[in-house]
Amino acid sequence: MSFEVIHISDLFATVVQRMRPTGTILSIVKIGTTNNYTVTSTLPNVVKSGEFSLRANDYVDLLNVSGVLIKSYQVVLVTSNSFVITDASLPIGTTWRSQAPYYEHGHVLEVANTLISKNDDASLKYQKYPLVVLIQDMKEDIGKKTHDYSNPNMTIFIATLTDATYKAEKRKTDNFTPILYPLYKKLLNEIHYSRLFCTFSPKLIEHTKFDRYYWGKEGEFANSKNIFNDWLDAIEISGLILKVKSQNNLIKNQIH
Amino acid sequence: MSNLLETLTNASSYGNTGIQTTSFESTEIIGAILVPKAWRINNTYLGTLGASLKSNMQADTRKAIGLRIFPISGFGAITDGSQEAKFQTFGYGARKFALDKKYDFTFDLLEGGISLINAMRAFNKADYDVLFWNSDNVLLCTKTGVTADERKGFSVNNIFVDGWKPADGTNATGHKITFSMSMAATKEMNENLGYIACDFDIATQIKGCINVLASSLHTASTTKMYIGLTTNEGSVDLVTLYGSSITKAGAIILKNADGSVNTPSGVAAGATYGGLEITGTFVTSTNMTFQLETPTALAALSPAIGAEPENGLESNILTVAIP
Repeated sequence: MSFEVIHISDLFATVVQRMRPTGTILSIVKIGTTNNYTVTSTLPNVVKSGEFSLRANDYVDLLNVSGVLIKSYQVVLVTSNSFVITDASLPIGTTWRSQAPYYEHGHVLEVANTLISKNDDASLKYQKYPLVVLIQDMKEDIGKKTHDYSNPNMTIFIATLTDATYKAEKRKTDNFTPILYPLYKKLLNEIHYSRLFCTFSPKLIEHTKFDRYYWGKEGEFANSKNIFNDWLDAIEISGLILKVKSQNNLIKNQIH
Repeated sequence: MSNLLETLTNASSYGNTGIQTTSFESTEIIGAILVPKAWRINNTYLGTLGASLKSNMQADTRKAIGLRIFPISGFGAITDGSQEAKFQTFGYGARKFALDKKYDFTFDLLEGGISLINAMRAFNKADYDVLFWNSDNVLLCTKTGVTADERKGFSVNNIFVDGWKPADGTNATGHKITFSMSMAATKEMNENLGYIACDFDIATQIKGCINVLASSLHTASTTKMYIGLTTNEGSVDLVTLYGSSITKAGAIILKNADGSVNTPSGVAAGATYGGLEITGTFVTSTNMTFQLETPTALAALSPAIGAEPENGLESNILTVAIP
């Protein structure tokens, strides 16, 4: 038997991928004589009440029938069931997927450096947030049970851009309510429904949640110094102990 | 004693014992699907590369009773009450196999509450087979032996949904479902075990129908009927939720007292009493019936109502007295 190696960071890449808003494209129609195109999506809608949805200025990937990236666009406008993108020629694609939330893993300093390096690129500097960060390193206890690969104890941050001048109420209405809380709920749902971990309900995933209004290094009376050199609001999820399941490589959708 | 030559050459008296890199071992069972005794799954049902497996199962959750399958998800724990194999010990000390293992599983239900328990207690009297699925989204079934690709549900002696147990300050309200498998199920779950590893999440993609409560909101007349349509213990108004998708004749079934279909001249959102305001010609001093279209028909509407991966919707049959 081959020895199984599972990278927790890869599992979370899958979880975050499942968190990204996505949909099937119904039509792509040119708007008048402009270079703008309306991409209409079938249900579920592009904007879903109470859920993290595609927003104007976000980046969206158009994918072919096999899920392979054709081209990425910055969204100009979003309605309940469509969004507008700009291109010199007719965009093509069968499905769309938001690039957000973005995902990074590693030491805080390393993630900060990755984000700083994005600032040098004209478009990449807008492709950073909202961000899910899996903090490494983490301990994994291995070999306790047949079906479990390990039981890592993890810390995760969900962060988004804010403004240093915002007051708490403004942070709540602009960032926590429409972005961070829906992402937090979605993260727990996808940890459960991805079936990569042994969980029994999104509601029964034990962890400590810490709302970070202006996430920075803690000072005596207020947070100071930005963690990732950007002004951020964040939710910290710590003490997240999940049982990682051993992965099977059974052939899918086939009768055995 | 058996004849040595016969034993060694009998194809059914050995099994190869090499361990392969990929082997099947089931993880925790987290859900079940109750299926009619005649329900079968085969390569035609799966389609090329399994392309139609999900859509066929979703369609089966909306079919008429007798063909419908009932997914139950959210198992949080198992109590294995199985009866172990029995051996008889003879006077000289020799032991001989007497009776095979008999499976008996009780699962704690995490979701659905008393509403689900009450709905499922109807299965205490019903005769269904059961498929289980595990936390890897592997659907467990059994080989029928009719064709190489045909599978069915496991045979069950009894499905028993116990009454709920009150919360006691330490434990939450208890909801349990017990599957007492038949003697045949022992072979079905071992020698004849079959499985399908699904590439989709069964709990979120294959969902059971939910009940819609149809009620009279106001006394009907010979030209008007006022019907409320709610789910989730009255907290969700379907007319508000679906709007023009549900305010149409194609979404409802209206019948006269003799059982003939009555086609209304108008179906609109109720301006005065909420719900549906149905306009038509209704015979005085008779009892008409109202119900939503079948779950399959509702899901086929455009825009669809209760289409996959959402729950199908099924209403009660409401008797509406025409004064």
